[in-house]
Amino acid sequence: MSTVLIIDDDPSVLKLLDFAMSKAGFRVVLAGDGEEGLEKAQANPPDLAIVDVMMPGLDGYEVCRRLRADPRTAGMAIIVLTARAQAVDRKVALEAGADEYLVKPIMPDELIRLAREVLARPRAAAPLVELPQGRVVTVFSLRGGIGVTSLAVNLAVAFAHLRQEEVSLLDLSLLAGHVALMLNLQPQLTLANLLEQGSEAEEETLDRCLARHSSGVRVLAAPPQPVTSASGGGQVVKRIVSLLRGRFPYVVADTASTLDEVTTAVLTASDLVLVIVAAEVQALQTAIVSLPALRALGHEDDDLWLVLNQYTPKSPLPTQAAEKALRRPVRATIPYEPALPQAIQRGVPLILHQPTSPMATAVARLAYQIDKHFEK
Amino acid sequence: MKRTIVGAGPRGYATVDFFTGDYRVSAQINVRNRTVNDILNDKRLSYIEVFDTYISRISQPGYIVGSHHVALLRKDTISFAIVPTGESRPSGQRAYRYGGKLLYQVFLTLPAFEIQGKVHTTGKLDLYAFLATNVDDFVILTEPVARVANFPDNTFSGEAFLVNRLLVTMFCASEQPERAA
Repeated sequence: MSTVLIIDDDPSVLKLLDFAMSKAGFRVVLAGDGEEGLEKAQANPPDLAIVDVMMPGLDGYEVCRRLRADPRTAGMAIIVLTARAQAVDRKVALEAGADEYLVKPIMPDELIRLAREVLARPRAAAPLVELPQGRVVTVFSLRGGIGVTSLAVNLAVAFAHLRQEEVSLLDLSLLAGHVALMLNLQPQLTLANLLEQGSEAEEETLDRCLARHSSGVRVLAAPPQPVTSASGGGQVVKRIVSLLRGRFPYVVADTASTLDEVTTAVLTASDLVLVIVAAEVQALQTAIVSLPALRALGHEDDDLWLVLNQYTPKSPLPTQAAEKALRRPVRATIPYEPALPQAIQRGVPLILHQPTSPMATAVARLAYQIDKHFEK
Repeated sequence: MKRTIVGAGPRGYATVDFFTGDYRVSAQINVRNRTVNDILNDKRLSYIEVFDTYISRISQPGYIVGSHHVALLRKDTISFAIVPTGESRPSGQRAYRYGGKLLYQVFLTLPAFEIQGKVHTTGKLDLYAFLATNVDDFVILTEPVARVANFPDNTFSGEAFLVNRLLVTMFCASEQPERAA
């Protein structure tokens, strides 16, 4: 006799499914919420879990993810029930680890048939949960004052929203970093503490140095006082990046407008470099001279994305001119946003301050584009 | 034969997906003896009370970022709602009726969305009358598909949409209608 664990916050659904599944010959265990369901599943792993998506506290997707992540329950069959009937809901359910997906209202007969079908499928041994390596995206320009830090901050928040996971943001400006200011954070520990430890910096110390922002961004802030000599800083940054990419899906690095040891280290370790250009001759000329230096660090053309920032229809250089001069396409155009200074002053990233503004939507689109790029 | 349905919600409640420019809100709405169309087009109420709400961002419409037992939605910020066919029509309480013999293929844009679908009319479709002088704020689209303009992989469909015509930025229609079945 197969054991079925039914997790639903609606007592009437539990009662009905208990009756129908018991009558069909299953041994039924009931749980009124996600936490209770996980406890019961881990104590006595059932053959099948039927999980409602919409529950207060832990939702059904999170329950699925945790069941799949636990070796004791990773191999069990899971059917998800939900009133959300869109294709994207099915995709999310399957990504979370469900075997099947049923849209409410459901007929008990249909559920019983599906339960038997799912249980009859050959099941692989509990899969190992593989932690994919996070991606390092560096926002870079040798010309200062063209919105590199604002873009890095908003991009990190966009990644956190997109992935619904924590991402990390590094402020590698040793002389005057503003990431913490833009996020209204006052971290006690910063990059300076890690630089003091040298290349043996421990994961635990790094974790304590990561300030937590409500958006899901974990920030390694720049030193509070300018650091003029950071000998060995490159090795420290290399170690930090290596530790962070094992923990976060994205590591976004905001860099100083130099090619010092620290900047070079993060650029070398990056999977993607966003080369920021403003629609002005000086920025364009700087980008032209930057590209060979970035190629010399081992980057292919596909890893170097040109991003036109602070663009207005009245900008002196049109997009096509930038593309022609740099002989590569502009991957994203981020419009100039008059509300940005106000957002910075408030310490709220624009993407949270005015999520429907053209700049915020352009940054969200860029994050989406990057995520798709890495999916390939 | 009488069959038990599980998860149909309490009697008198309809499950609706509401979309604003930034959020998707899946919720139950107490329709009593009316329809969702009646409630959305009831000009005496600017807000709509919903229950068992599950909220997602439009950029990640499958991920639930919050859930609350009760919520109020401002009707004028709802771009469109996905409803079952029965809930898309006005109930018999209202003097005029929904229905038509001609079907026009339409394409319309709202902030953050583009929508394709069909509009029923009794005669030739008058875009101005449909969009500007219509009595109802929420108009019915059948066979609808919505796409998020910034995340074009994210699409939504359902039996019918109730689209807020006051938020429509562009409305296009096919020249020749089809005959409704």
